[in-house]
Amino acid sequence: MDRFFMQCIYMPCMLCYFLVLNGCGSSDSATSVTTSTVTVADNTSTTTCFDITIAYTGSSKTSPLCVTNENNGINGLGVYRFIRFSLVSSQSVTVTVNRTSGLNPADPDIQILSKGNRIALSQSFASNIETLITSLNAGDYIIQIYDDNYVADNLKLNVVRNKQLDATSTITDDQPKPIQTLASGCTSASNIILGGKVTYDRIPHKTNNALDYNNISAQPVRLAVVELICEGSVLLTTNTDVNGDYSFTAPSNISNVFIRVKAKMLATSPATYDFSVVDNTQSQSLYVMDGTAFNIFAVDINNENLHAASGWSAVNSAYSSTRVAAPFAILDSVYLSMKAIVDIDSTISFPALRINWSVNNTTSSGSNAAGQIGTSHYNGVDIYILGAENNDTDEFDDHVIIHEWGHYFEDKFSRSDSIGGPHSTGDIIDIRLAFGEGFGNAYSAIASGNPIYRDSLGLQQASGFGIDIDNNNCLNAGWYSECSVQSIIYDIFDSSDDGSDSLSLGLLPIYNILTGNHKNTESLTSIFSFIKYLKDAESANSSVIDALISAQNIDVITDIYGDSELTNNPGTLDQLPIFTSM
Amino acid sequence: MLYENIFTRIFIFSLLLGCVNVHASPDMNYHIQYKPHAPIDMTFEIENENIEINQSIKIKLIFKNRIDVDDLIINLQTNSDLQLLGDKQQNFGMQPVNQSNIMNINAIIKKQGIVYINVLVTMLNDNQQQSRSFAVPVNVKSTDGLQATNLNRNINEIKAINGIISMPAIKR
Repeated sequence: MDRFFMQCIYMPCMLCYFLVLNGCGSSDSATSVTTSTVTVADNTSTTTCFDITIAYTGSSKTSPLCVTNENNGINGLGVYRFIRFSLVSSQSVTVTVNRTSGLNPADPDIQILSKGNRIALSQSFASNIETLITSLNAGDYIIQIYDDNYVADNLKLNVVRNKQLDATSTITDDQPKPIQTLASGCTSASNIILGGKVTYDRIPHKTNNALDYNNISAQPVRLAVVELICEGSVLLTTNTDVNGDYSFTAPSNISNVFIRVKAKMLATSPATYDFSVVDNTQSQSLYVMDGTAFNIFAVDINNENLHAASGWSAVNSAYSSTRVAAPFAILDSVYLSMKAIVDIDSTISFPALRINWSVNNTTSSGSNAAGQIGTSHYNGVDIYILGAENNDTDEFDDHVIIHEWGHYFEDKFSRSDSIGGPHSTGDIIDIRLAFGEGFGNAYSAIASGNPIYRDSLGLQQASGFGIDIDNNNCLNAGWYSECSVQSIIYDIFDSSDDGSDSLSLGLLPIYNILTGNHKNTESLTSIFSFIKYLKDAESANSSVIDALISAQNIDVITDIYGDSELTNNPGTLDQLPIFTSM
Repeated sequence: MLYENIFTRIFIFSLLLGCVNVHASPDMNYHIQYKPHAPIDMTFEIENENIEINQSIKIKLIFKNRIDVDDLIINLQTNSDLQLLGDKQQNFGMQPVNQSNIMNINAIIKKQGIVYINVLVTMLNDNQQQSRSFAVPVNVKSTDGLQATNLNRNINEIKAINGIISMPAIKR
């Protein structure tokens, strides 16, 4: 037996190590397929307690805080607790963390947050004591104590992002009409009207969330960039409309031209956007669909139609030719994502976004350039979408794409303090992760107009995963549940009353909160901050909102920190109060 | 004892790596936001990372379900690049939450480069079925022992030229 190596898929460190160590007792059978069962101990979480001292001129306060690094199989990411404090004037502050019980050595690390941004960090290798000295202005602050041996990614735990729009990503050429540039050798004294319709194969889902290749339909490619190419150069540019139709005023009597449709939406007025679908395994090259060459005579052309085929072969039950439709299906989900926002803010300016997709994008983690993207995700800059046949393809899973676009929206227009990572709707997770993912799920239902989240995958895309976003019966409901968050946000939005839901506010108040107070909250972004600000803005609906919250095992929210949460601990863990005030 | 040594090495190796998330974000302050998935996780261990073409390889798949399930079904799927020896499906039956199950597979690799084994995990719970898909990469050296890291690309893929991937439209 040669040496082994091990790789984790979406599992925090300790969970990986734990499984490996427990696997020692398993059979080393030489047979081709063997199975064995490993009993996992119940006491896999560790609670470590500290005394936290905050000292500055004329003041010194100490408070105990216990941190449970939950590793109970529900979700290894754990549920964090925090210290919050206020300064009325600028101070040189000393924060000291001293272990009192639990894990030894604990090696605690400290970070201080202000409005979600990390402004000070201390992570020395002192065994049980950590000290952070920093100058702070007057304001509200949050301290998070953690042990980076326990939680993967924790060194990247924070979030210092420029919330201003990137100037380079805003289109400055304010030309709402198609650009009409004549190229050499492709001119004429007279013009004709050249137009047609652009469509793509849409593959719907079955009720079991698999792709339904027996019901493929042609759908319009909406708002895509269309070019007339003459002698290898772009002669004219326009966009398809919401029906997939395009039209040029083109020179007559020119030959050997063709139509190119880009997997790209671009506009500068009234809303500004620049969304494109590119191949991460080919240097982020742009997907385009090219028609065949034709000649333009002195008569109008209204049927230069182009269609993007799926590439699926019913005979082979496999993709047997180029999957032309895929980038345009992704673009259409982006259209839906964008439209829901533009409908309530018609002059919004979206920062440019690339959606990376490839037939090589697989669930293996590694190099994005090799297609090893792990899963569909947003990384703060780009979206990556799975495309590997028989593994996991997401190009027709509009909820998945909109969910990730929701993260982009939250990042660019609101604020996400989420720590990221793996998650399922039944998991007990950190408040920041629960809010971000619950919002993403709810937004996928809002923008698509369909509360049934579907994600196809597996051999021949014949399996799947689904969530009823409107279902209020959440496993492990509470402030630590993305299911509870998605249920609450969707019920605030939708016009279909059910259970405790009698609200039908639409997207605008949600948008206003996310881009307003929630973005600037002194707390961390969570269901507490969101609901507190919503109740402030919708005071007439306060009791109805309370009913929604109560239905998810959350006490009536009266503040941004969740101080009103007195009873609902996550599972057997004692995690209250979430923020300890000093 | 052999396992002890091996797993000690794995443990230390993993500590060194820190199980660091391998997605390199251009914005190091931003955390990667994943899509939701079925509540099942998988890790894997590959014996002999120096595998060459036509050599056999052992892979251990370790599954852990995060909810109670009435049945847990594993399906393996590969293309002609890899020959699986033995069953491609395994039913684990009813499993309590937090249970770990191991599936050992043997295979012969037929092609150099990065070859994937697709693993489909299906969970049945209260007559509801949820699935999650994983891909296990196997990096196969050429017969001359050179490390081959090329991706076995999809045959229907069109190569980019000057930043454009030109795909053919159908005229309608």
